[in-house]
Amino acid sequence: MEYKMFKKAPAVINMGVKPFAEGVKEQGIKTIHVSWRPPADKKLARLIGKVL
Amino acid sequence: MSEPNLKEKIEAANAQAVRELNAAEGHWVGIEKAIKAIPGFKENLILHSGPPIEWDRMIDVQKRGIKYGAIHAGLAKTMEEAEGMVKAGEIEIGSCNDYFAIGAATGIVTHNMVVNVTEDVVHHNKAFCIPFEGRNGLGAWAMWNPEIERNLLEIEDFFAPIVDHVLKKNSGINVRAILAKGMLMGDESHTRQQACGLQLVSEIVPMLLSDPDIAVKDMKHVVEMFVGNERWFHPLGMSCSLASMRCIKGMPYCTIVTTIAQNGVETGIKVADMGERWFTTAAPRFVGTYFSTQWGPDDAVPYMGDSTMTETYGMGAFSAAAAPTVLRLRGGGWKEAKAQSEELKLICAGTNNNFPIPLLDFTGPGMGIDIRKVVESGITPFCHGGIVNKTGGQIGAGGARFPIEHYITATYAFMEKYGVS
Repeated sequence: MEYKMFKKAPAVINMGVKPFAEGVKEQGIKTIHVSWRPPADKKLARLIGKVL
Repeated sequence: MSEPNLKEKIEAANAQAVRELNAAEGHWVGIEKAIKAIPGFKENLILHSGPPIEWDRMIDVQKRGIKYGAIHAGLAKTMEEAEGMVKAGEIEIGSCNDYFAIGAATGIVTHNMVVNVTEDVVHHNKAFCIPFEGRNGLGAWAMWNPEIERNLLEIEDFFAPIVDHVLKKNSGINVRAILAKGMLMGDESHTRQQACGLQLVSEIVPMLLSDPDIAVKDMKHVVEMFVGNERWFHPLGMSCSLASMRCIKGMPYCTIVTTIAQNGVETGIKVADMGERWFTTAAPRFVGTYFSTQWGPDDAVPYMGDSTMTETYGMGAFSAAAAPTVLRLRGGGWKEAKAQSEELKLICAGTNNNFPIPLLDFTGPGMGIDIRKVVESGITPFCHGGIVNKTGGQIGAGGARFPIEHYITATYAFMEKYGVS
């Protein structure tokens, strides 16, 4: 079985901790960083969907 | 039962709030004794920065400021007597923000201190802030010696009456306009206001020079006092922020933060829909630069002061892109400054269009922190500010990432009010 994805240069989507993205980017790999943090409060994360 | 169409009502209220905030226009209209200017002030009242706090929980440096304040106000002769009077309730203490005053650092305001009066001339709301005494002062830095007292008395008894006279005669000075120009000249107007300070001088000096009522020697000394203190403008930027934010206080369904303030123990916020109700949690600590190698994080108190009102109005950390110089305090440059402004925009209901910033492609900074966006994204406000020594005085400057806990409690309170479960 042949996996094509291993034959191409990877592109990375990094979520959360920004230094991880910077480390990958420094190696010349195409990288997109997404500013994201896990919900601080699970119940509120559910409720907030009703008002935002 | 949940309020019908709540989401739409919130969106409409927040959009209206952003329009009102953009219309607000703060002017410096006077400098008067606190007991005259601030509604509800009393001779035995001393204000402090941040949310209200009991004497036993108050940090030592703020207690010291209140005790020195009691002596300056003629309420007590010694520190011991002042402490006894506070404990007995003979001297009352209160939060500056609850009186629409800005508490700079320790935030001490006594009845006989003078306060700058700033008015939003569109909505006719006022806010108050003591003048900047310098790096060694009583009101902000809780320091006292005969030289500080002499300087304070000179501001109160000589400087203030003359400046108040010319301000009233000339219908004040437009602070919002100065802030806007400052944003184009490298100020974010929380930690840095050098450009605004120079503009202020260029507006007030002609007023003084053209006034036949002021003796030449007095005029010369007032100008010397303005020029000799690079941060005269800072209290005006802060009080302009608070005066402007007042127009949305109590606005139904509005989820925008109207106050951020600290007392060195707790940080507190207020939310437009919930009026003057405080939501508090532990105050954050600073990342920044210390003015001398003799000082470090162990010497600093947690965040103290109400200058974070500037961030609620889109200034300070939210306008970092206007002032990359300020980011150097944390080792950053223009890229970090721009990224910080862009990140903080994500948690705002709109932008302050009065302050177009070149590095943001002439868009305004984020303004109107929306508690829903904070808890949904996990991105909390970052605020600039000065670092206060445990023993008084400013020992550095930098910024702090604020906690999320009180945003969560505020959002739960809002949900409960409107029956969302």
